[in-house]
Amino acid sequence: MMLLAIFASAVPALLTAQTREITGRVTQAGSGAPITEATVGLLGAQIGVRTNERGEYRLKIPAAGATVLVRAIGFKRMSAQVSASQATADFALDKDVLQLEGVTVTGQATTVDRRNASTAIASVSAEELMTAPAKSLEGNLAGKVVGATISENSGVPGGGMQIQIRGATSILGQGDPLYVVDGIIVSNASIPGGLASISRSSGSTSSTQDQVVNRLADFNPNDIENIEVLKSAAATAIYGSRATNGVVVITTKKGRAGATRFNVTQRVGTQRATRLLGSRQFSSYAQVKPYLGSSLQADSVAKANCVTACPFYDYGAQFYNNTSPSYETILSSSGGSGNTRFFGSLNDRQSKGIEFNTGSRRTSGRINLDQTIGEKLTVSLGVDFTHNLTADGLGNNDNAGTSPLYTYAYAPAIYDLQQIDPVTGRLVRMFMNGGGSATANPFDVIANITNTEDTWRQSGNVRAGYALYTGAKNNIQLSFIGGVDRYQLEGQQYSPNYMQYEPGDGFLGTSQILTADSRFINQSFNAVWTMTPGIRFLNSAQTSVGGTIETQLLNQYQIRMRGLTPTKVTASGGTDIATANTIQEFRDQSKYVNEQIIALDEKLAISFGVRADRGSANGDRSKFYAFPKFSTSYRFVEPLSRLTSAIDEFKLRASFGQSGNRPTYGVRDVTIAGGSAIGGSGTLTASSVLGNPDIKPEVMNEQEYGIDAALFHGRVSLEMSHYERVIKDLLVTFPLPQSSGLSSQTINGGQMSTRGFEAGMNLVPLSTKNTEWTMRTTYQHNVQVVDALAVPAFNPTGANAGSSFGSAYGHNRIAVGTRPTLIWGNVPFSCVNTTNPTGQLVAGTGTDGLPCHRIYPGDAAVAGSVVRDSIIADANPIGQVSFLNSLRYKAFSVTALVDWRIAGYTSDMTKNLYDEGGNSRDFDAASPVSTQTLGQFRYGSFSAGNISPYIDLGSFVKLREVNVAFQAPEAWAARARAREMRVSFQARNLLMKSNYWSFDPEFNNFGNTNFNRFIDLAPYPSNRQFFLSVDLGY
Amino acid sequence: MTSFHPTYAVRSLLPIAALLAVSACKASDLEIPNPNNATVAGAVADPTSFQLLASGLMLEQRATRPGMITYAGVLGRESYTFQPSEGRNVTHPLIGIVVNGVQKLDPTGFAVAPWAGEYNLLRDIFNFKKTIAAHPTLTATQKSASLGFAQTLEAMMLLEIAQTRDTVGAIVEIKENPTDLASFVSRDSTYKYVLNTFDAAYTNLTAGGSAFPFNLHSGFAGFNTPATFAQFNRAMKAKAAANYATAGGGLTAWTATLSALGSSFLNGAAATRAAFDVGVYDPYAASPDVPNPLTQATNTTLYAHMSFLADAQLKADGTPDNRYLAKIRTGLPSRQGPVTTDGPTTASSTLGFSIWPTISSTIPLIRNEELILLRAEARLATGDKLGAISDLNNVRMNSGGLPPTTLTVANTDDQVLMGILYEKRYSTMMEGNRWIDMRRYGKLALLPLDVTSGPNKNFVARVSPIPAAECLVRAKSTGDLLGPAGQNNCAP
Repeated sequence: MMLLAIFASAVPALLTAQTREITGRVTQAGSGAPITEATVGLLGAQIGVRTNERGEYRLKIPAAGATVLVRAIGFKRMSAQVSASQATADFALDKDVLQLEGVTVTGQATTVDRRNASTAIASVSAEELMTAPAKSLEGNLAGKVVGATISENSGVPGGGMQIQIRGATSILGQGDPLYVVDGIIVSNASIPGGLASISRSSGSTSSTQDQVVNRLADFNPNDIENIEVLKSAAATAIYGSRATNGVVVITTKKGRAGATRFNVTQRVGTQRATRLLGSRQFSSYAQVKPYLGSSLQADSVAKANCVTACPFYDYGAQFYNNTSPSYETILSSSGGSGNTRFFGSLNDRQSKGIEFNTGSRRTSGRINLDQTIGEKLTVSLGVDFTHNLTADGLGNNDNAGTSPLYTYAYAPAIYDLQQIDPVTGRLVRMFMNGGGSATANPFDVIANITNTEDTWRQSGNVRAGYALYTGAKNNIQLSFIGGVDRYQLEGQQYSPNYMQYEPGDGFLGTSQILTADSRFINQSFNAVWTMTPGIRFLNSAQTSVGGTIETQLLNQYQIRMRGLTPTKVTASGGTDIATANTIQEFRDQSKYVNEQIIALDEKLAISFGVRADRGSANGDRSKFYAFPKFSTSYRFVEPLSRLTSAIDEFKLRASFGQSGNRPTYGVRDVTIAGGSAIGGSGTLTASSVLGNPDIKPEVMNEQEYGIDAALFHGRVSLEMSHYERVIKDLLVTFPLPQSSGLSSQTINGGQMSTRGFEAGMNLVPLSTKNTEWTMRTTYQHNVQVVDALAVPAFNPTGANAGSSFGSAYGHNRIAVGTRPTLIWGNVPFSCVNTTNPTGQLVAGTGTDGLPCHRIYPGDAAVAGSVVRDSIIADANPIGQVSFLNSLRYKAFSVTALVDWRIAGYTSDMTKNLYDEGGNSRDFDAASPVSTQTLGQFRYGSFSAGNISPYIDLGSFVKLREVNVAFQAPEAWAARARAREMRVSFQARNLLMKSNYWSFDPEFNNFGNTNFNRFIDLAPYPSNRQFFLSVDLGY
Repeated sequence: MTSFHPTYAVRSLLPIAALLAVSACKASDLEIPNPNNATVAGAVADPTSFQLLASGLMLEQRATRPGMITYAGVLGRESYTFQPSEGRNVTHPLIGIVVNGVQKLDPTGFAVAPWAGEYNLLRDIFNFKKTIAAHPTLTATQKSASLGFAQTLEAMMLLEIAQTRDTVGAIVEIKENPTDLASFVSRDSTYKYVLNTFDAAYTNLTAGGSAFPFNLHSGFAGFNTPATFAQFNRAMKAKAAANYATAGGGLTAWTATLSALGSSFLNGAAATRAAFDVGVYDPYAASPDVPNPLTQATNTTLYAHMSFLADAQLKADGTPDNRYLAKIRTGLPSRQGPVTTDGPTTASSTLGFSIWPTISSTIPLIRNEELILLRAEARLATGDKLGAISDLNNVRMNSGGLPPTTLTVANTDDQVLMGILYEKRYSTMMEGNRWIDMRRYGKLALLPLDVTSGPNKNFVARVSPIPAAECLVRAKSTGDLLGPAGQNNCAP
């Protein structure tokens, strides 16, 4: 406020000049094709006019003449002096292959030219985004955003992916980036669908192990014009206390002036498992006998089947074999006349999964309207409506005998599970475990259970801009952005009472209905004053002030009924009832002021500002927490071009910023718990978790230094960034002694730091009239360390932190001086370290005379050895590299994206299951110990408390995306009465090269988590998808 | 020609300022109450809270009981928890970990014994006492009754801790600030504190008038006035005193046991099931109440030790002890603990319990049958062998349906004691006594081991460790791990 006032009072009185109108046409250099939607304006002015569908424009300029600047997305900018006598000015723009142009977001209502950006930029255009369809938007971004690690949680169709930018920034706090669509913060909550009510993966009605689909899956990526990922704290500080994890700014397509154009895309596709695990092929009854347990039935099945040799049924290949076609239809239209422009789209996508009876269907519609009212007011409106239905089937952790891979891991594949039992007329019961209720036949399960999530989502936004003052050298623009994002998710689970596993929990039949209502509302008010004095020393100064009000409400309720009467599906009338209802509401308010200066012939850019936030999640709700930022960049142009022609431009940038992560919900409240009833009376008991009225946001300080360069006359561009982040006041759980009668309190008591390096290189090895070849290579790497903790070292657990199955299976550990991404687990040591009477560690000496040391699998046993929870490997990859190649020859184009993860370990508990069941495909292979087979060796080591054989290297090379497209001749298009036609073949996850034993090292049983993101436990298998698409333009 | 003038800028800033005022100045918008849980301040101010807080104490007491029963049940070779998905639930209490060649229970493992739940209740009792003291409307008599009620529960919780930790000692004090660490005290001090607390409660109950200022649940039927609740107090005091008697309290404690039993609801002449079963129970019910977690209706992992069958004495008609027939189910699918590469970890079992048939079945805290046998113990210890045999015989014949005992005063004390322990084993099956009793009388070695050799060799733990979670927190401030004798209570 003050700052603006000071600047305002410093403005000298200005005169507005006489104006006149010029006209002209903007075309592509070479082809001469008109460029629509190019912006034509006076150099330095914020507002210009747009070209129509013929590339024509009409612009008011000062009578004395001026410099006119033309910009268009995908083209290099161009400026020209228009003299006082000139009435027309035409422009021919060159293509911007290296993407040096465009603007980047610097505030709620401000942008800056990309070449003047002072922080690292990650931007993905619509074309790059849609190389190949993905189950969720994250999939479209994978491998395209340097600095972001994008991982699939499982092969479930319909979603379930995680984006982590520059490593975890929090342990207990939110780990998701903030998603902003057209100025509106949207929900990407991971709401468990309730599978746990059947799989009993946890004791509750729902669990993060439910193959959770995070709600970004509801967005139709076809509607997206551009995605920008803000990474450093200096870039994200504009989002204050919700920004440590980065901000993903999504802009949807807008209407284009001119006659209405329609686009129709029809896709048909199919899917196949990327890899299957196979299973052990037993040769004889004697060999299979030890794995049958004490069950007489399993024994008789084995005896009957393995008369001479055992038959082999490849259960996985039979089960994960659904190639039913997937479809997608996209309709969009765009147009506008006069002061109105619109974009509308309809999308219906039906994906199928490789597991039968699984898939997802997303149907959505969007309308974006832009209306100019008079000369000063513009109003934009966007409405999006989505219905997203997913049927995820079964996968992940299971304690009920429902997860298919659990069954296949334990059941020798010697029996045809797809045969009909002549007595019951249904598929045969699982023969293992005495045919008891601890197991089931997956073919029967998947055919009869229901596990769906049905989401209805509506988002809308209104943006109003008012040009309060428009002058030759000064502009004041006011804007208001308001919007709502709300959805209702309904999870439904039904497991009929006749399922084989149903008696396992003592109740026949399970039915659950789970509902989540999410409502996000936010508003922002902005005033931007841009001064363009027109002098070389100071090109422009832009001051913006504003504020935001945000509300996020999530209301979840569920009913689970067990002990159902036959054929009854509704969740009522069971003999065991569980209900739950929780509400989380966050409210935040902020105000900010930003200053952005471009000076010295547009070579120097300086940006600084501060945002102050307060929110309902903080202990002190009325206190504002300030998040400052400062960044600067300098472009070296002429001095270098005089020295060498190889360097077009060279930019140095540096930034410092601070951003925050608000406390998790309810941590501040000192509550008393309402317990269950006793003898008809309600109860009150002390909450075991003590509220903390002093809790405050986590704070991240980040420095980023970088170089951007353009070389060889636009053939090469380079970007490199180094960052160092320190995250203070981490939320941690302070354990209270159990003898106090309370369990814990959340405090701000930790510090973690991250160092990282990111680089990207764009090459244009070939560029001729007919041929264009572009290559993009990116590399990223980071290392995190825990610097300080006010609590004892601990294993991260929680909704955001993620969970693990403990030291016997591998887990992360937060301990001072260590990397939090390290995997700890039980490994044998040669002796015991002890503690002295005061509890301090005393190092021991083993019978081998050496200090206690780790015994590796296959080593000779050391007497007196003990198992210890110790560091085994690092889950964090050494680096990630992606290669994007795009080759166009005349009407043909080929694009391929390869993603390479270098190292990074995983806890392969799927392999552990197969070994325990004596059923792994390589069980009989040779092992380091001559007396044992490989499976015996691995599981034997595990049983002796050594997890090492299951902590596996997760390196991979994936061919993530392939797109082969053909732009059909106009004659072909004409047959479909279309203006243009394009036929493409698209594929996702086409190939994976990895020595990893199970499906995919990217997977995680617990879904989106800050830590413990490496637990592979009987997931829905990875799969590749193929599509044939026809696009028609009218 | 218009001019851009400072006043223009200032004028244009007014609406912006107004917008900002809306956005920034209403801090009250952020004051949203927590809809999921009551705040302490909000709850205590409510007039219905006193009943809810009292019910909360009963709820937490109930919550500790099944854990204590199954824990003592496994260690005392009464039961197994054959949880297929987590074998350590079975193996940790029976095999433990080997430290310096000695088998011990793992303080980080699955056999740590009830601890946190008891202290949760102690924290609530601490708060409840403060609520009583500050209560604006209760009379002095009502306050006295309420205090007696709370103190009785307090002593009961500490008795459970003392029974499981024995020589390790315990923490008996709750501090206002949960980060202030209360010190460990010795077993002797713990028992003295427990007995004194029972007595203080008794005094308060005696002065507690005719009714509690809150309702007690149906499990207290017959014991729901201060006067009758005092009889329950005496019964628990007698049990505590008997435990102290075998833990250094000696004859004085045995005398105190007899004295307390005299004021309890002990009915030595009981001869019917109903008379034996007079006592205090924890009630269970379907949601929103809590279903009985041990019931055969839902619990498929709780199995009985096969030795109940082998050791059950026979009635005159050749069929087993009535108590065996009433409490044990036979013919369950055979189960056993995990089989490792070193062989089985437990024997298998086909026996279950029929003590709690439905999810609404009650679980006793203490019954007349136990009091009669407690009197037998105390009589034997105080030289009244005949009285002890008479008590034993009453239970044996009327509860077990067995022929009269062959024990006479001519038998040794130990033979009579073994007789009492047999009756107690079957009479209070799965009531948390067997393991404790066998330790009290130094007879843990008599408990059957399923696996007697090899790496899976079973053992009988003598005491429960202090949970690692407690020790890790305490370890941060040096010295607080230590008990009075300087021993490290976290690594006994």
